[in-house]
Amino acid sequence: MNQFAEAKKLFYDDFDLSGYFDSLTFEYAKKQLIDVMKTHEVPLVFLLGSPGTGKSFLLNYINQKVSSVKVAKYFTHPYFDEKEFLETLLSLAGKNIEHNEYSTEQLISRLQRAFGDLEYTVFIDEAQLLTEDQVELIRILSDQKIFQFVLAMHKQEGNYILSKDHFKSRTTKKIELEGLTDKEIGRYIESRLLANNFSDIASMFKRSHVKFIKDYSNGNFRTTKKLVKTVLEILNIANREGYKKYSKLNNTTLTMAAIDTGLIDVK
Amino acid sequence: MLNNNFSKLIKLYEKYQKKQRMKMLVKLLGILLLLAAAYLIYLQRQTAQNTQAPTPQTNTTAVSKTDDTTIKPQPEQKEEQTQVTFQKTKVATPKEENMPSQLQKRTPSENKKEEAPMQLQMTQREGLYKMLVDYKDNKSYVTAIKIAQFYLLQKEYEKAVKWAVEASKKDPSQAQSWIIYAKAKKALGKPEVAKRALSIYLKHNHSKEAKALLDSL
Repeated sequence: MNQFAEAKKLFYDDFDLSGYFDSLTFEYAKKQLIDVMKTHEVPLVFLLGSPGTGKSFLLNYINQKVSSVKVAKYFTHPYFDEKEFLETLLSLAGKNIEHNEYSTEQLISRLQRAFGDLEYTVFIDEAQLLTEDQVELIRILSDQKIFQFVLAMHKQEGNYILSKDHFKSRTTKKIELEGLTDKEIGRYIESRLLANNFSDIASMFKRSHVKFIKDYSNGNFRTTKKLVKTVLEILNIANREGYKKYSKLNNTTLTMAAIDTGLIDVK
Repeated sequence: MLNNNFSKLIKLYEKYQKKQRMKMLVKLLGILLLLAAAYLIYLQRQTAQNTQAPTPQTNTTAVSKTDDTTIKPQPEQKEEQTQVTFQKTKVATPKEENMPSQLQKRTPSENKKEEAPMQLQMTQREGLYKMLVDYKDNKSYVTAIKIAQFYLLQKEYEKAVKWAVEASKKDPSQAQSWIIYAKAKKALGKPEVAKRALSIYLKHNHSKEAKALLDSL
């Protein structure tokens, strides 16, 4: 197995926190989110960004790495029903609750007794999938200052929810994650490879290659990783199977990677 | 793992390359077409410029050729030709009474006569092009007379004749076009034609300058 096969693993799209990258937009969003969680004043926080900009990574990072804030629960997907959701939250207070043991109102009043003053934060990822009723329940819980909620969602949907009447009048905070610049993409690829002793591969990425990646990924973190992973896989196969023409990092192999990932449509 | 088989990916890449080359080719062809169109327009303009000046030659040479081939009777015919054009314009100017006053206004201020040549001296050939373009747009008597005067000064008499006729079509009551016509005809060795033209003009209009020229012929 050549180096490329190992190097590509560094660019898998997962929430491995060792892949942390301090891009300007990420650092700014992180600081804003930590600050707002520490103040316990804003009941509803909207973390907005296009898919793949790092919203989930940021929530995961804060949940696992930042000890100065209190995350009650990190819901990776809003799959819950109303009661299940409230029961899950109440169980965080250390109480064993049977499903359907209490009514919704009872669950809320118990939560009120167990939590309060926005001390704990609940993260809900992919919140654009929440139904109207679920959003309304979150609004009630945050209004009563039981929990602070951070709703991570796609930018468009987030702005749509925020524009609704029952959010317009409430104290909310909007934090946005933007795409990476080409310099950041270059720095990310380089630092990731160098940190894992792939200096030879890191030195292959020239400015023009980084620009190519930026142009096709549009600064999207997930797409960037996907493109780099794919080009490394192409180089791995070409070197392993003797396709000399495709064994080096250049515009040809990058174009092939873009075709393979669907960024270029050849049909 | 790739989404495509490697050899299939190579084929897709080659297909993409072909598409890109085709796009480039189309773009290049587009640019070439644009350039060709621009060049054609340029050529058309050039030829239009060239033909603008020679056209009077064809008219006048036709006249002069007839002059040359037929010694005496023909000048009358040729004069008739010129008469035809001038008479046509004459019809358009029934205000014979007004004419003298207009002409008198001009003649006392003889500076005006000198002004036009001065301008022409300044403009030279570049100016001629501007005047031709200007005439194309405006078809004004003033521009036509300037062009006629320019050609007269440049001793291009046939062109001067053509533009004098052109100017007189615009305003037949103005003496200047007839005077240039007469001067040019005289310079071309046809004083009779010049005399005839001036006397036709003076039948209906008054111009000291035209009269003086007629007397000097």
